[in-house]
Amino acid sequence: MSGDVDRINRYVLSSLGFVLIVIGGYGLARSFGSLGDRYSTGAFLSTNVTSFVARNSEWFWVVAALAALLVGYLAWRWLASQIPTPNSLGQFELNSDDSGGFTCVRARAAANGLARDIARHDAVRAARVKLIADARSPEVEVKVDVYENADFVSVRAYVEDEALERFQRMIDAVDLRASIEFNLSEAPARSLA
Amino acid sequence: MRTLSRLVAAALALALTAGALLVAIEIVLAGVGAGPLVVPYDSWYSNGRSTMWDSAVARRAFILVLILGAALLLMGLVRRRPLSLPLSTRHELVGTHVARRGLERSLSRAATSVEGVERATVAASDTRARVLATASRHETGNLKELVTAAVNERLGGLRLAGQPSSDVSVKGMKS
Repeated sequence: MSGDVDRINRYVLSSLGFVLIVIGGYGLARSFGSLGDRYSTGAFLSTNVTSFVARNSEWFWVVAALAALLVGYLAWRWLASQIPTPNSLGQFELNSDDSGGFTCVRARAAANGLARDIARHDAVRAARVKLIADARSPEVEVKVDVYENADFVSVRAYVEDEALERFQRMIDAVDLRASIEFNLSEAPARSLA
Repeated sequence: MRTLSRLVAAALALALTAGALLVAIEIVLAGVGAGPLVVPYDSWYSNGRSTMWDSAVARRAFILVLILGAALLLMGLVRRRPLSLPLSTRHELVGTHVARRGLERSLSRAATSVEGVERATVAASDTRARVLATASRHETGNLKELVTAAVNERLGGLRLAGQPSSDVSVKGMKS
């Protein structure tokens, strides 16, 4: 999500920068007579421009207002993308059978359960879990602090193959998507087994 | 740089949104015969008619626009290091990463664990881990090889998807 915002910002800032450079470059070139003397000595708003607007005022200002609204809408979308939206799941429904009933699970309780399961590993200092996305198919975001001197491959195997597998069975999810971020922490004074 | 560009982006987006809406409102108001609400467009029109392209004020304005454009372009194009580095994939539906800052601190600790290294700063990206170590003595001896080995051992244990290479330089303590 934060990577998406950065990518959008890079694209929009570069585009705006390019447009401003073109405007500034054109203005300076015209001002210093690079496009011919008659262009550099005229008024900024020439008679040609003002008479064109006056002749076409019926549609010109409508188009100008619509263009301003379009720019405003795009800028509003850009502004909205800067604000992170809370995407935590409140609760989700377990896959129901044909009995007609259904079971809802509180997402925070399930997430805490997975975090505790991951933190059981000796090499894990702490774990935080968040369930996101739609209620039908929850997605898991996991942050794991791992001691840097641990066997990292075995930690990954434990988290991905054991803890996540157990969680997937527990919530009865078929294709559980997960995003796991490991953060390396300073090893404790004693060595880990 | 990331924080600065986010602040600039938010400020620009807000200014553009407000400005564009204001322009649309002023056009509608002018269409129904009302005067300027906020934008003094009648005096801007007079200035536009009296200001020449080769005037000093126009040149200053265009230089300002050019500088602003260059700053925005630079901000947009500058390459930033990722917040996290991807690990080799084991399951199709599971994406795994390692936090870059934590990795840099860990590599720094790996470098300073070598006897004779006083401190080390690390800048990691998805292709390279740059380590600048400072020795606790004037002579650096074989510290570069030892630090490289320590850093590579830690990097290798992670199985990063891109397998960044290490680029270690060691400088001796000034006497």
